[in-house]
Amino acid sequence: MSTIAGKLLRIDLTTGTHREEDIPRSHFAQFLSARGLGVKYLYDELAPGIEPLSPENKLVLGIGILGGTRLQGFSKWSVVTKSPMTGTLVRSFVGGNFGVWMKSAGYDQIIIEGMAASPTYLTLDAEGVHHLDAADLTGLDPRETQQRLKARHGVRTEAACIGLAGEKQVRYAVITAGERTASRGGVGTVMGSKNLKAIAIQPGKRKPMAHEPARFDELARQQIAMLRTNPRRKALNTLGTPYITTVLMEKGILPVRNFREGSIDGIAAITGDEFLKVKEAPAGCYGCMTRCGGMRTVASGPYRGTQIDGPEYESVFALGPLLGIADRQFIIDANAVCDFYGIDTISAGVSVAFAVELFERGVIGMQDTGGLALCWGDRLGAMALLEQIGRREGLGELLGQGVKRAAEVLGGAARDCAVHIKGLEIPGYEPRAVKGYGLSMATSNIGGNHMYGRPRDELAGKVDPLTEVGKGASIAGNQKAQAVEDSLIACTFGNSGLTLEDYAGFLVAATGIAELGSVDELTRIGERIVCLERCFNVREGFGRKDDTLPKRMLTEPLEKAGPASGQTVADLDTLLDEYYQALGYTPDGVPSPDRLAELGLGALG
Amino acid sequence: MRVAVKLVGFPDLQARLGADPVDVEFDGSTLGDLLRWLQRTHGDPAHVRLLGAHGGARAAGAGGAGAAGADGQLDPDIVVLRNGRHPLPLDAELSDGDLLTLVVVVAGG
Repeated sequence: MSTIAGKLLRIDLTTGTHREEDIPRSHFAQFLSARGLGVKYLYDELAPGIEPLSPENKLVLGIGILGGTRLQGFSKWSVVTKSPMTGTLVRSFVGGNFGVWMKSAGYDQIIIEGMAASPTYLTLDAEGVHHLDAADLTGLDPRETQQRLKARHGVRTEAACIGLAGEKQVRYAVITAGERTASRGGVGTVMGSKNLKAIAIQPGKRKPMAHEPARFDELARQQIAMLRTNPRRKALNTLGTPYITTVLMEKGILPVRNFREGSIDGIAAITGDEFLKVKEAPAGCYGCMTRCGGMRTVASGPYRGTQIDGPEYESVFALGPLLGIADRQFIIDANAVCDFYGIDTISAGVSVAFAVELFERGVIGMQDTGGLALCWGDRLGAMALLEQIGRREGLGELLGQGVKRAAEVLGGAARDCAVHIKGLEIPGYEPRAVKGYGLSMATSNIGGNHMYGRPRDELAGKVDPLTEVGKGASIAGNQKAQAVEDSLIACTFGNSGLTLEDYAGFLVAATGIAELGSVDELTRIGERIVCLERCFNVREGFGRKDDTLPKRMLTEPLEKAGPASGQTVADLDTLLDEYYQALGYTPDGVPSPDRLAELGLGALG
Repeated sequence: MRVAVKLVGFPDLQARLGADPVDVEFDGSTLGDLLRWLQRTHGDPAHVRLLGAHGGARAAGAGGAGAAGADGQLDPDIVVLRNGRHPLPLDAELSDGDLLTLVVVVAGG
């Protein structure tokens, strides 16, 4: 017995066929599941240089080894693909029930390849996979799409789908499941490029059974007991992630006005306590007692009068302070517009902030904005641009390609205002205020991402966040640990208080794979996954030149940012050298043959 | 000892203490004394944990799940700053008038 299903389902949209494949047990021992296995399959199967929005790209959906069990916070699922934002690999995670249903149907992974000839949706049930006409779903928002599929295929149907933005190939479209989204890097855009509107799954009969049931149950019981009084779980359960907004601003970490400043007047209107006042019900994922989400009523726009699950901190930052806005209801409503069209709130918010700054500088004018006079704090203008992005109309046609591509089109000063790493917009952690975060984002193999290797000690103040030496090894270590957590999909919020040592114990009891019981081995697996991602990117032409930060972070002193005021990232090269050395990479940022061999990836050298 | 306490991410404890920040007077001189006093007088062990109470199992070699601090140690998800700067250890000596900020640390979102 094992909590591993041991199979993947491969679906070819071009031919309308599918087949089951065994996943070798050694794959789980080397890459765990979810992100790790997704990277493994894509490295092996994608030809170098393929266009991310072509039929040659693949979507790999996955759930972790511990997903669907009694353990709390392990049941999110992952999407791994080649990103249309960056040209690198990307992984994105999403909650809801979809992943657990996938595992109950007998699969750890689903690989979707090819391209359907016309709009299609898939159903997966006891009879197999069905390729169905999605003409009547075309243009529907994710919520309506899921409701239609439940009405058609039964209330227990769980669907992952795209909205209008994914259909229209807005480059940072999301995949939605329930009220949650796989948000980053354009995973929904890839799905849309395949003419795939939705995947609807019926729950199967397979229940993950632990290798050592009694031991596993005891560990799950202990985890639940620990979580009951864990302060972080309690904070997230009540307040959700918005409560960190004020903490981050006090440290100068909250990006404001397109990353030029670190504080905003009126912050008291968008604190965690303020969002708590309008939280009407808790929300969360399958098998998670943290329930960090919260349902709030939308006051305007397409979802007016209904509730959404949100906003998370990242949406608060991107749709609020980054635009010079400190208006709680606006942030909720703007979040709802992004959900309605199916676009990433981070990339959308950064793209709107980019446009506001360009307007302020005179790079674009009212002839470009359709008559909108953009300015900081302008809620109507911001909402109008979000709508344009979602529909890919007007200035939204350009902004919906992301700030990197938009700046390339506009040229000149626009390049100085485009805040991205490798083409992916930076999230709500200012690199100049936490230098380790700058290094982690610069070296991230998926572009600007705050969850690739968090500098926890710097954020907690245990290490000076403003120094620029001595951080390479710790960031490398954090990235390895994050790769393990991502490959188990040990949710950051649902697993408060747990460490790799805990995961090791869970894995042995769950699978019987003895080597997974070693923290050293788990760390090695994490490094192997990060290294294989790096190898994928090197094969695509990425290297040290791409491990950098926006010019703004390197040269423009941060303003109005409390203790971080006046900061730049002045010596990224030293940080990079330390990081590469810690991972056994060459000075060009390429894994050395020796290190590849040590990680069991010698064939790639 | 009389100090001011500011809470970030402690909704239950905040509701019990009221004002933000709140002036408190306790017997003792260290951060540990303050936290034990807070836990004893305002905390509800079923709802908020400032000091490790359950995570000692693994620390004692039992191999249990949960990395929370061993009994009597500051929970690893909490940092306490004096006057907004630098985390304090439990044995840090406090002074009258200090502002102690208790933060539940979260990175992500």
